[in-house]
Formats: sequence, structure tokens, C-alpha cells
Amino acid sequence: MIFPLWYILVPYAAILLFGLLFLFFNVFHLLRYGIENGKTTALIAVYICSFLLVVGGSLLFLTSFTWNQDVDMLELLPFNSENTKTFGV
Amino acid sequence: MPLHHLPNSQPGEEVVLFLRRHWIDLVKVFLFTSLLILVPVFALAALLFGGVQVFENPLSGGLAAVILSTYAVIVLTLTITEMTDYWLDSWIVTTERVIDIEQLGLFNRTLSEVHLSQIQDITSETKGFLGTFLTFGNVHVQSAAEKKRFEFKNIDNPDKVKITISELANTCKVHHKHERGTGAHPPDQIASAK
Repeated sequence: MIFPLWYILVPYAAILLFGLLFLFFNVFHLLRYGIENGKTTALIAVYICSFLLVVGGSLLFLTSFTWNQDVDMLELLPFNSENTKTFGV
Repeated sequence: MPLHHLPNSQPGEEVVLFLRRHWIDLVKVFLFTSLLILVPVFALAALLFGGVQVFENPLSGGLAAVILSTYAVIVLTLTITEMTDYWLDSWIVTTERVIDIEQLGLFNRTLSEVHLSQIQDITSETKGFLGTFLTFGNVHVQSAAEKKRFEFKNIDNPDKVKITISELANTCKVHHKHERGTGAHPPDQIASAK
């Protein structure tokens, strides 16, 4: 079975959306229920910066691969010759 | 602490203690996060040590990159949510009452309060080596009105907090007894109001 490689990016996009939603809820809770002081503001800044850092880093890492090619599902199977070569089994 | 954010705040009410869980709870979150970060590092190291070239094949490399990226986002989300839970769990002791604010996950928040004059029993407990060494523990406040006990979990200096609440409760009870004794609201006034 042949499928475009970028298909495996779909779960990542879903998790990224989920993470973004949780970031929003966390920041919302801190703004709504947190004590209004510099520490809460700093914590929100840390949240946003770390999220941008992780997402930016992962996107940079993902762009180093060629996603517009088709792959054969059989390549994933352990008895496939190319696969065994790649995995050094 | 802006008291106007608290429900039913009374004029002249002052915040005496604002408590959060001990910093050791935050350290536990960071240690757990560090452990989660180390899992893929060790897995990749083991694969490299075994001579497996994961990133050379476009399929296995892409798959590994997606798994690593997804894992990083999940770990970050978990850590952020735990930190928010820590930050929003708090206990406030004012000159009038004790307020327990508990954040259970992101979508479950409990806010309860007890008036100092209703407090019947206060217990502080310090457990374990870390608790004794770093002076943190729990304080249980039993009120007359409610069956449920207030629990200040893993707070710093539980004995000191217990003494402070006891003193405040005693002062409040004496004050209320005095108010009732002097008759702040005489019976004839109450009858006319009815």
C-alpha cells in the first residue's frame, strides 16, 4: 500500500492543536484565577516561550525531511529487505 | 493579595496568610519532566549503540521525527498543566475566615471557606524524612458547620500555620462573644425589622 509521507504529519498536527488548546486554557486560568503579580506574568511568559521553543524546534527538525514523496507500507515490515538494511538487523 | 477578588469579602478583612504547596512539589514536577525527557534520549542512544540508523531512511526518519516532536509537545503540555495546578492551589487565611482554593486539573476548581469562629479543631502533621528535613506537611481544619475537613496539603511550616490560625480563631471567637454579649443587635431592633 502506497501513501504520501506527509500523512504521518497529521497526528502531529492534531497533538499540536491539542497542546495549543491546553496552553490557552492554562494561560486563561492563570489570568482568571491567578494572583495579579509579576510572578504570574512571568509564569505566563515562560509558558508561551517554552511552547514557542518546543514547537519551533520540532518544526525546524521536521522540515529537514522530504515529506512530498510516496512510501510503501511494506517498507515498515521487518522482513522487507530494504528495511532490514536500514535497521541493521 | 487583592481581596476584592475573593467572594463575600468584608470591610476591614485583612489577609494574614497566603499559602501554596511547598516548593518540593514543584521540584517533583520538574524531576518527572526530566525523566520523561531522558526516555527518548536513552532510546535514541540505544538505537545508535545498536548500529540502527533511524534517520537515514526517509520513512523511519520521518516517523521518528514525528514521534519525537509529538512526544515533546505532550511532555510540555503535561508540565505546564501540572505547574498551573501547583500555582492555583492555594489557601488564604484572613482575619475573618479560611479559604481553600483547589484546582483539580484544568476543568475542576473548588473554592470553599469557613469562618474562623466555626473552627473546632486544627491539626498539623509532618510526615517522612523530607517533610521533617524541609519542614513541610499538612494542616487539617475541622469546622463545626461542615463535615468535610479543610486540608492544607504540603505547606511550609505547618506548625506555625496551625498556631497562627488557632490564635486568629480564638481572637475571632472572643470578639464574636463580646459582640453578642454587648448586644450589637438588640432584640427589640430585630423584632421591629421583622
